[in-house]
Amino acid sequence: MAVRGDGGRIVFYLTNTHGADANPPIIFSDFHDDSHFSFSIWVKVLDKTVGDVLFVLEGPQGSKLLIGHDGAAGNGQWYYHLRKEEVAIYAAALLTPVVEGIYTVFCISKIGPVLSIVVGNEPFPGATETHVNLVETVNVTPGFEFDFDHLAFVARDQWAICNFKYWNYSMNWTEFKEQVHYFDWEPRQVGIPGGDKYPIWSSPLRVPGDLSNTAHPGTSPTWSHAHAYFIITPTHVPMKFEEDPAFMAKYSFCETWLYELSIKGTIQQEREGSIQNYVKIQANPGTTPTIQTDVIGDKYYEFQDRGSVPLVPVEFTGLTFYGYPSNDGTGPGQASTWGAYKDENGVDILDTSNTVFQFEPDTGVNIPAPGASPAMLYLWKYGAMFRWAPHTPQVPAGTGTLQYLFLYVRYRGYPSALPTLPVEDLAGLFAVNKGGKSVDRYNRGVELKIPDPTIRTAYIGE
Amino acid sequence: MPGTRDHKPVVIEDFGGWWNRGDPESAPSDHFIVADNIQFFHSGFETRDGLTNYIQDLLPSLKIVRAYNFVTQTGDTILALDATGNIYHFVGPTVPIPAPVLTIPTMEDFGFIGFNGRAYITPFKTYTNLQGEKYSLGIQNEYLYVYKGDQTPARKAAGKPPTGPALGVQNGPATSIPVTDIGLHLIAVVYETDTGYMTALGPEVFGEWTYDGLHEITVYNITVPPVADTSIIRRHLVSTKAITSYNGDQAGYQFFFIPGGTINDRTTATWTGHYYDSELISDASHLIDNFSEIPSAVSLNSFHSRLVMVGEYGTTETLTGLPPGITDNRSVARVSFPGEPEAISKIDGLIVAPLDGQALTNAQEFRDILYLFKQTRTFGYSDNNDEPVTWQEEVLDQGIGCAVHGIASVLDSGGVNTDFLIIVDWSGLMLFNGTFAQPAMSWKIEDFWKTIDRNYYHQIQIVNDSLNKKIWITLPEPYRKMLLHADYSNGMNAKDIRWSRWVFDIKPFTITLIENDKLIIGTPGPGF
Repeated sequence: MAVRGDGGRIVFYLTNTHGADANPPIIFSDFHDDSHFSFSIWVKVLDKTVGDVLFVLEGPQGSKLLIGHDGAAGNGQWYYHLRKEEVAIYAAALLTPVVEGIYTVFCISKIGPVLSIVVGNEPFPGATETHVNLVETVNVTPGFEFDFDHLAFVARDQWAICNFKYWNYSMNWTEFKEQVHYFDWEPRQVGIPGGDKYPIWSSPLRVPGDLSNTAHPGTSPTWSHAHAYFIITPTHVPMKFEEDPAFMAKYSFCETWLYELSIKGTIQQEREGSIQNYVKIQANPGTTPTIQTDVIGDKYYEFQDRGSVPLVPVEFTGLTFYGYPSNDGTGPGQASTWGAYKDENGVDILDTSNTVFQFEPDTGVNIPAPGASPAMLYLWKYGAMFRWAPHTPQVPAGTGTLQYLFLYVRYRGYPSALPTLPVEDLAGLFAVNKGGKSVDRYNRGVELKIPDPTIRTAYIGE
Repeated sequence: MPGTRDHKPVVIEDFGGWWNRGDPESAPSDHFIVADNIQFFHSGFETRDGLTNYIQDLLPSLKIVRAYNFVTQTGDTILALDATGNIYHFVGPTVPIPAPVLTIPTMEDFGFIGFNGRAYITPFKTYTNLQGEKYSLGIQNEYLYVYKGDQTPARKAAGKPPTGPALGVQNGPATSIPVTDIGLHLIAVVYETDTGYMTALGPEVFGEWTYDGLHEITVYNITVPPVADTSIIRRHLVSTKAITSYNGDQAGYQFFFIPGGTINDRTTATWTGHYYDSELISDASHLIDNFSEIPSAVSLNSFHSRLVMVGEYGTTETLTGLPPGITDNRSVARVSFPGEPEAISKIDGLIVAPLDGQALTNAQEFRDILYLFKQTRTFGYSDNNDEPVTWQEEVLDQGIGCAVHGIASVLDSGGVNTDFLIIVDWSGLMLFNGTFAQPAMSWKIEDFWKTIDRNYYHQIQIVNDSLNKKIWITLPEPYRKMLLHADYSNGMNAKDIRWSRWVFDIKPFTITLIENDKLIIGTPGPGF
């Protein structure tokens, strides 16, 4: 599902990751902090008369690249603006006419001062048989270089966006052509020498305001203090679903997925620039104990996927619970942190028999059976147990904390394209909306299309 | 293209809807063998209306399994049961979800009727017999509840009689002229609840005094209700007429409400007054035989201003002394006094349907007859202006009956519409106008109807939007995600009714109409 909705942004940004200012530990260990990179995103315009900015790529010195379309004023033309820190519009040009109802893919590649913009359109709405024919539309040489700071996609009701990918490489249009048509992380380098070009991030963006999923299993399982990127929606905006590009929906095979955990029934709120709003589990025994003491954390979180896990994956290969244990406070903190769960019946599950269930700063933990299974994925609740070692004399204890909680779900399978919504979204009281919009709207703004209105006749005529 | 050269186009003037009967090729040309998610207008059809969430709640957590429209004095509201036995009262879509008004963890379903602005609620569940057949009855040792519609917790209907120290009676101030009849009188206390129910007489030992005619009467030690039971709002004194030869059986005499003997508070312990026996008109004797706690049942309805309950399992009290082999009261219907829905006599406020092993499932008034239904039986009872136990029974049909929620509720009220009932039966959707009309309304989709698992007919609920001439029916598994939809704007008969199936991403467990024709769907969500 592509997503649309007014007022939200999806931001992908770099944060400080070293020293005292270190921000959350995140997953990608092989990001190269230099000035060559590429990214792509798909957009389908539903109303070309309403212009807006599609995305902004910003550098730390106020330099930026902006791509949008001009709406009715130009009869719908995509354009770019390039800003240098002291020059508002350093370069600008029209890219291509806006075509309603089909997907357009934007590919941006940068290496040093050279910036390329490649744009392509689906050949026709719902085209499933062919790749988009990409055309290298612009090859800009700005004459200045700027580093990546953050990239913000603007969610609007008049367009749907999906399948964001980011690479640590500068790619040419031939490489883009091989890479942008798939949800997954696989490097498709037909005829291209020069090593793997795994995307650092590959998200269908099928989940409004959620991380949803990521790429490159070679990087994901290792928890690293490298570079932090996030996808967020700054505002609590009900998002809507649109069909994915037809070719991708039919042929793209998803493989690795990362999901942020959340409190039951909540949608993650704004987190930009702050780690305070991250979900976390805490416990404090008051004073340090005289004997080894286990304390269960104060919260349990749930899996909140809203659309990308197929009900029957082709192959389910694993489930890992990620969290970053720390001591929040001045007193002695916990000696160890363990995963603690509530199963589908609400029964507490805790296994300290093996260190595979114990959190370390850069590893996830195994989930005891049968929790690590597709059937239990939605039903279990994920928490933590903090173990304090004996400490005498007794002093005020620090607060055991486990934060930055993620589930790393590994399976092979096509995206379901049918959101598997949490129970909370599909339970309760609903009203038939006579004469209203022809969708089924459920809780928290979730909209699904009316399932296949169908008539069929057995009459074959004369 | 020789195959199409001579092809004659077929013009369909009126689309007849879904056809699922016999071989697909036998479907008439104006009917379709698949008609999903469509609704009808005039002679055409369109995609069905969408859904929207009724409760505007950012933290939705309610798993609804049953919902009814509860019409209050201020408008339509919804009583809804969740999957863990909590009943909520929703007074509007934007009002925060309130606390449950009733919680019974073993409650799987509930019956409901609105009566004088109050809701009467009976919890029930579904049992399975040794043959694997499912049947629904009230929960053993559970009761009928009354909810006043004000978000205060529902309480057991009826109420327990006064208990406590013996009631005292003595002479009051002397009078210059006779103010009472002379002779032995018994005096007792009756509680009145905030729903107007009069309890049985109490306390355990009534007051007893021989009047001399020349004194006021002072009653003391008047029983006060328990502090925790705030439902009792006033008390009444009741008295016998003069007893010439008292045999010591205090309950064996006829009691009457004492004129002026009402105490409009909960605490006053003495009363002084006088009355002549000729002023004792309003009889209170029948209160002695009433249930203080009414056994729960499956279905509630009204008949001649009486509350009718069917499908009782029973309580320790009512299950005592049953014949061997009978373990519940599945064929017993309880009927209240007219205008007093909580006053049900244990002695003669009942009807016993034929004991054929089937449980009573439903009750409905129609053309001045009370019809009681079992799954494949229909019985009629005529009110003879005497006690219900004396009402004449007529076996109407021994092949057609009704499911627990199988009588179409019409708009926001009961089941009668344009002088017919629409009834869900194993054999089809039946039109009842005193007899069951044939063929069934579901004749066009008879093959589909026959695939519905008979063991789960208790999960079928039907509503009738008589304004727009539309019907919706919930279905059990494997059709849980569907509603059957029928449009009878072309005629209420098997030929002209038009069918379709509405399919959802949710499982519509329960449906009800509010605001006349707004269809509300309740669902517990995936996993149920």
